[in-house]
Amino acid sequence: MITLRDMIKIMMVAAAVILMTGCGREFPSGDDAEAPVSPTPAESDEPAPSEPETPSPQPSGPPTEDPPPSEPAPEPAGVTLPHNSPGTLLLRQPGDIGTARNFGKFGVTDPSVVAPLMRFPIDRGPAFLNSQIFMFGGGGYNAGGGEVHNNGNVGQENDARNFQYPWYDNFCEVRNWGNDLCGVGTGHRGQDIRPATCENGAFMVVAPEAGYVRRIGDTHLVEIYGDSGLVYRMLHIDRPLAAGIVKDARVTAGQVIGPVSNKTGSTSRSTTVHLHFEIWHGLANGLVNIGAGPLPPYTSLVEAYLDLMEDHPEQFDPVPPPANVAACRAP
Amino acid sequence: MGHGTSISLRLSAFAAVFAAAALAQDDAADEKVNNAPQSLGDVLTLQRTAQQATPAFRQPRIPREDLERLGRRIFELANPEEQPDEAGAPDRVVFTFDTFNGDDMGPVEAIGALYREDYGVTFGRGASVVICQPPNFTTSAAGTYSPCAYESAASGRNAALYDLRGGQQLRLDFDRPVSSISARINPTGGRLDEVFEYRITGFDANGARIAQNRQEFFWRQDAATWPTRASLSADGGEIVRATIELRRRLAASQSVRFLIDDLTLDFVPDGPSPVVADLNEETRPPRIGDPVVVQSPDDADLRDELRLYPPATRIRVGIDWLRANAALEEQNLRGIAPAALADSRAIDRVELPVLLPSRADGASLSVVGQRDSYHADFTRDGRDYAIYGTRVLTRIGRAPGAPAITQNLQIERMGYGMGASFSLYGASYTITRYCRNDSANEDPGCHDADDFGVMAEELALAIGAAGRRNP
Repeated sequence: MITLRDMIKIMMVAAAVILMTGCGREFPSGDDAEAPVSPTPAESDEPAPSEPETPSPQPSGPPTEDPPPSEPAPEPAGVTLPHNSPGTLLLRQPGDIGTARNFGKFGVTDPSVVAPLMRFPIDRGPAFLNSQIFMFGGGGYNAGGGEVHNNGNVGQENDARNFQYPWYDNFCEVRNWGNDLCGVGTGHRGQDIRPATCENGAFMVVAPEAGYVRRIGDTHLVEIYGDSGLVYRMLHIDRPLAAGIVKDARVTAGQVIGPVSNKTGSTSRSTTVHLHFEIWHGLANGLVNIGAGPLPPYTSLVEAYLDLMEDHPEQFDPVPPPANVAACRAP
Repeated sequence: MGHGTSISLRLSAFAAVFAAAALAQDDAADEKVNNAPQSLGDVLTLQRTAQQATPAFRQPRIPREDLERLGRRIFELANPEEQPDEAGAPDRVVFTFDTFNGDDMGPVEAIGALYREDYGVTFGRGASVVICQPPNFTTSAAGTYSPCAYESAASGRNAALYDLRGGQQLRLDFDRPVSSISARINPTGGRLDEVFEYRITGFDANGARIAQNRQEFFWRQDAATWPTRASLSADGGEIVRATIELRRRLAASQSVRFLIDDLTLDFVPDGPSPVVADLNEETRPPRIGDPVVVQSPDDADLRDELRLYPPATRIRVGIDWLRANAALEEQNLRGIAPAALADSRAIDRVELPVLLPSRADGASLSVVGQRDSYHADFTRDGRDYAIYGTRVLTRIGRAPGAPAITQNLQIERMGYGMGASFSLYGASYTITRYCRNDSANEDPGCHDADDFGVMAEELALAIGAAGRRNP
């Protein structure tokens, strides 16, 4: 039963979403590590296709048994970041809420910052948190599987609208992977971060906090066990890694790890240029221990990004994307 | 050894568990699936029901001295008085009857229950140890007739004699079930090339005959080599009682007395490691005990650092040290220990039970530890794993409409690996197996439930110096 108090909260959150969405323009597609980039008509100078539908942010869901999220604090003076509220997912297409497929249904709305002292994990701004599958050139989920998705195969990875605010949370974006925190019990488990442009290898992943490099995967994974006890798993980091980044190396916050790339597995150019970012810790739901797993990193990234904006305002001038999508796929 | 059998059972067991969980997660993209058996406990129950014969999860015993020789650190209990003197009986025992009763035994010594305390094996009436070496070939030291008229012992000095005394079969009872039995066997007399038949029969705890082997052999009277070995395999079953008898072909209705030596028993390995047994019991997500808030949204320092959103609440949870210590005690009794660690000092900093593999490739296991968490990684059978444990949890609200979490053990498949997440002894743990090339698409075996399960079922427990204070 929805109480008056709940109704008020829903209205307030909905208003915030409308307000925040208005801060940006439309944004479109990309692709993700796990959903290979759909072949586009040509990796050439082909102009961007006609304007696709504007992706729809997701309205807040019904109240749950979990504690209601706190209201966002007011924007600080000096730096602003147009972003959707946590849990607002870019949908496959407008009106997806309540459809049988439940694509993107219900992200984590709890705004708690799980890594409050984290350094933003890309060396310099700007950067853009959004979907790699539902933005331009993304190819949708399970591309080729017959699904119709928001922007279809339209657009290219270098579409300027992939590199615009506002940000979107995609921790609960549709995936087959178990994710108990999400509305359908499955989800993406991490946050995708595009660097300023889609230039492969042009931007660096940095350590989110001091700790130890505990895993260097065969091709693109790096895992850091932070001094706070949090574990950071980061994907699509190309090789070679920065000097000194070896197994069990001690790293400091902000230390360069390696280049943001479009690599998944041993195949280059198998996804868009982005960093897949996960934070792991023990999890409590109320007073129940629900094991250990990935936490929603969205608001932690917002806070870390605001720090970066404040510390290095010179980095945040708009960066024009490459005119040619081939530049995203180099070398 | 009977381990081949138990290993194959384990594989099928975990195939059932993880396959069920994996299927559930495939479907979960389309609909909510929450009732699939995802806990080791559920699966174990299912497995036992399905197979009836034997529990699915086994942990081989390794003698304590062997553990130490292999460089495996044995994590002692907090209270020295609780230290087990030595590990329990190993999985295989060979009775040569030579150390029995010291040097002062007589030429014939009844066995009865004298092996029971150390090995849990009781010999039925009519069984005795006899000296079978040259001076006794024809007469005993006391000048009486010796049963070892033709043979010296197969090994050492002694053998066991079964003398009818009106009985029919040598009976052996096992406190701990055995999976196979074998012994060298000879009659005490007979004609040259006379044909004998041995029969060895196994019974389960319900008294049902579950295995029998009978073989004829020629007796050559030159039995110094003890060429005949009577053997029996339970083929996955658990034998708690066995009988051995010998018959003449020409008088098959009547069994005769005989000698055995080098009686070899393969015990059914004990159930899952104590850690996994405890996990099997922890089927539901547990309530948090004795939480202490270590970070809160009201933390002024953190709020100063943050602009828009509040810091998450973090809680440090209480550890069920009583249960963890009991598991460690049983683990030490059973000769289970973490795989060799090049440097185990990191564990001494950790104030929670440290779960580690009991087997890893070479010296691949390494641990980084802090007070409230640790991160271990290792390679096993060529695959890379990590185990992360923490007693500090982040409290986070779940998404609207998120399905109820009903299982403690959650099986996860990711694009770069496979994992299991659970709570145990109050702390939280996750185990990850990393796919080769960081890609499940390029490593089809990465999501193999069997392989993952075999590793998970052999988890061992370590409690370092800080943990021994039970903080």
